[in-house]
Amino acid sequence: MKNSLKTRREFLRTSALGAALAWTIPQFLDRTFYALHAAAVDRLTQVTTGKDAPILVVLQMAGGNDGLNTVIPFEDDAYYRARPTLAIDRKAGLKLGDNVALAPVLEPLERLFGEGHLAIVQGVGYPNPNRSHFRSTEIWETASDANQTLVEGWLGRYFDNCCGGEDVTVGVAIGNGLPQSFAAKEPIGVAFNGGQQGPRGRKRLEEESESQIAPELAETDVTSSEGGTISSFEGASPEGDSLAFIQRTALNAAVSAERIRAISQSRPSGEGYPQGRLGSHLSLIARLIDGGMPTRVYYASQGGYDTHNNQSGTHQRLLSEMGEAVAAFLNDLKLRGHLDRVVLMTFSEFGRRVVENGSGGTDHGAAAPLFLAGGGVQGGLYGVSPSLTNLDRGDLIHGIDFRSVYATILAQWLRVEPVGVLGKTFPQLPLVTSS
Amino acid sequence: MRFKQLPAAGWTRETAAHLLRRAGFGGSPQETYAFHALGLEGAINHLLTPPPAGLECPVNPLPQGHDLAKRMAEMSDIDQAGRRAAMAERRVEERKELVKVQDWWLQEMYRSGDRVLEKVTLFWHGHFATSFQKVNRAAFMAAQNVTLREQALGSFPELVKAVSRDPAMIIWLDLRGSSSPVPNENFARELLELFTLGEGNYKEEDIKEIARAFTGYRIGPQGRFWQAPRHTDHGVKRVFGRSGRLTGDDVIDIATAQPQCARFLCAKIWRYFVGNQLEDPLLGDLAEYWRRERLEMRPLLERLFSLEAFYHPSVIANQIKSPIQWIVQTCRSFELGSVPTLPAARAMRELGQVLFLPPNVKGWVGDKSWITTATLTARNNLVLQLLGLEPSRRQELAARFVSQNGFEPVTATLDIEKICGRISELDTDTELQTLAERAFGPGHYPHEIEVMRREMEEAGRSAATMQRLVKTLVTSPRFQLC
Repeated sequence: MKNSLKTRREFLRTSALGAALAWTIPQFLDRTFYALHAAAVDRLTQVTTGKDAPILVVLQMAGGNDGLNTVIPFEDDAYYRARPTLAIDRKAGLKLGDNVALAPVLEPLERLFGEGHLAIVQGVGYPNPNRSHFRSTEIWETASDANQTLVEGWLGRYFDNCCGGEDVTVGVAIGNGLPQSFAAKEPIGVAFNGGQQGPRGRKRLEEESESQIAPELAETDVTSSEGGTISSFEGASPEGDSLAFIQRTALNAAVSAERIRAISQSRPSGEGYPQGRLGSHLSLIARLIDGGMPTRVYYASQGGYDTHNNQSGTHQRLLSEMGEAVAAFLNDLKLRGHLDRVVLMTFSEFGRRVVENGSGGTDHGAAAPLFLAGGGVQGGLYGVSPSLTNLDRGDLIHGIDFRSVYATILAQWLRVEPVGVLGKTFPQLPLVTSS
Repeated sequence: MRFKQLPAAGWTRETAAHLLRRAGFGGSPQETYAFHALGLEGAINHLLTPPPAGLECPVNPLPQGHDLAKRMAEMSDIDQAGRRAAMAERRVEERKELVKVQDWWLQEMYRSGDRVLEKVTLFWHGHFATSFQKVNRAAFMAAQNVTLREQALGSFPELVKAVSRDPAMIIWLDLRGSSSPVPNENFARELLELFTLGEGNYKEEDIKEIARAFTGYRIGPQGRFWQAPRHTDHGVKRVFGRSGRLTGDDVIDIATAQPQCARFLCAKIWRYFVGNQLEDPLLGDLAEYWRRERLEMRPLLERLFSLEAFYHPSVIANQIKSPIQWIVQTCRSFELGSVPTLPAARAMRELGQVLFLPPNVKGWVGDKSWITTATLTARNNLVLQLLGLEPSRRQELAARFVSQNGFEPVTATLDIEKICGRISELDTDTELQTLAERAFGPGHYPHEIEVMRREMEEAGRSAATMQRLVKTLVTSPRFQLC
């Protein structure tokens, strides 16, 4: 199997097209191809093949993760007063020192913390926090101020500024949609929904159960599906000519589909992943990394964190799945020899309110912790656990701007100048090992 | 207030086809021709007339004798593992029922695709986006669908009130657990942010007050709405400057009376039907017109479909078909007779729009977000199955479908002779033009026709070649546009 990097130019030149997409190529060949060619020649095409370059995996926890029950200030009486039914038992938390404990179901993450591969950044948020799922997610994905509306994503700006533009697979999102983080001037990034692309993919599909109307419907474990109002978010939709957009995407698809499918099918899956979408998505990412994809950024998402009602069972289940999946992912990477190249970062659009509501849940809040995991991570606790008494309208006040975390990753891990991507300078944290 | 109407000369085959695609789900060339013959006013009238009695919903929206309370009591005797198994079994049953409801709605969209009712119902489904993922009861999803359809073309405030009492919505946004004195804010927030005003047009204080007005909303085991007086906050609330012992309905009246509500909805409805961002002054004019019409949908749509701006060249054929549009319009354009169940079900999933399963409470973003490398590849791979041009293991899969879901899937196949006509009799260019127009609507398609001409010359005239031509058209980028 050939492992050569296929650029759009090379692809069109060789034109060994077996996919149904072959029919679309001749129709726009004269317009798009020459335009592409000219544009590509103008731009820098210094794309590292990615085999040795550092990789970022972004894991979105969609819906607003309840940070207080994730990284617990177990010594603070105010915590127990605010949450008579929801507070995690004082003795049950996994103590990390510094008066905080991890939720009991996050045992796999506790192990990673012990190994020095997990950084916990506390009190992350931004000024003038917005409590709308969609607006706040947009703020995190575009790295804007709360009163600014940007269309392009922070990773899209990274791709535009720093990655040359020839390689459409520089960003890969697992799922059907591209996150707004990837939104860039030209469509870039590939959405891969896990094994169903390309002509041969079709045959495999038919072999699966035909009655699987939607993956969500196949899940039969519904100990609780509270929090399910937010399963996932979709990317933004830029204005402009629709036909050109489709043509460009068709070309991107043709270039990348064959390669991704081949890699994902050729490598055996790692072990220890929990059942369910998140586990299989992270497993797929590990395989793509191992298969030598030139991708710099992968994106996966886990939904269901919007726990307004009867939070306890759902939240524990989600955290447990997340912890297990992330730990299995790191272990898989280690076995394949890639642990040192990968940093995984979680994010959620906001945390949740300190005081529980009358329905056994919590409403939208503000600051919350996030995790970084991987071989390149300088493990430990960062920031401080926000005060439970000095609040902003009932919500935790952030101590660290999320763009500081982005700046750190851009500068110290992806090794690019953060100002070009974020528009401003943000203080960095010593989150990345120096090697 | 003056609106620029479409002039008489502007009503052409092209603009008529555009209206049929946007307001409905498109149609065959003959249907488009007949639609054009009605004239603009006649066509709009036709769109707004309800179709003859619809297909009956296969799932009883509010089942009788379905005693959830009794079942829960039975379950309290068994242990946790047993309970989980029972719930998993229940969910499998509900899923089967949901498949029936999804299929039913798709068939209805096909059947009345020359009317606006289903297209508007689909809009409301995305607007009040409620997902089976959390609701878990197919009957409740069906009931919500019925409610949306009943009120789709009527008063918007009345629609919102009906939705606030809808069992699926009450479960979805946690109204059933919301009680005085500590209500949860989920519904209150989304009512303002997503259903009526849009983000940034209210204060957090409003949300807190509004949450109080929606306390005590409950549903019985069969989904019937009732209000629990013990859990209801009867006190005085202050919302947008109005004070009083406000009920949920009062709040909806106040919220929808805000000028911003008309603006927010008009912009969204415009985007759905026209495909771009509506700005002032037209936005302001349309919103004011709608307020004068007491936020009734029918007059708004009549106005919208008669505006010159609706038929602007930059609008025609510039909107990316949503997955549902793609499914139903393809079937109608190629006169399949119905929507084939299995390919449609797979298409919903892979193209990213599954009925009754929106990704979140904001519904589907739509427009360009429908197209990614994954979904575009899926469209091109699945369209041939949708048209029945790749039967492969159809019978085996159909049998499996029946055993898993308990009903026969609808099947359909493209009648290539009917579509491509008597191949030997027509001159090449005409038939290619006709075929292209069936796929894309009236217009000029020199590029696609050139490609097809080359294929005809290479492969000669045969049924297989005709299939290839159809394939070329339905996998082209242009086919994704509506």
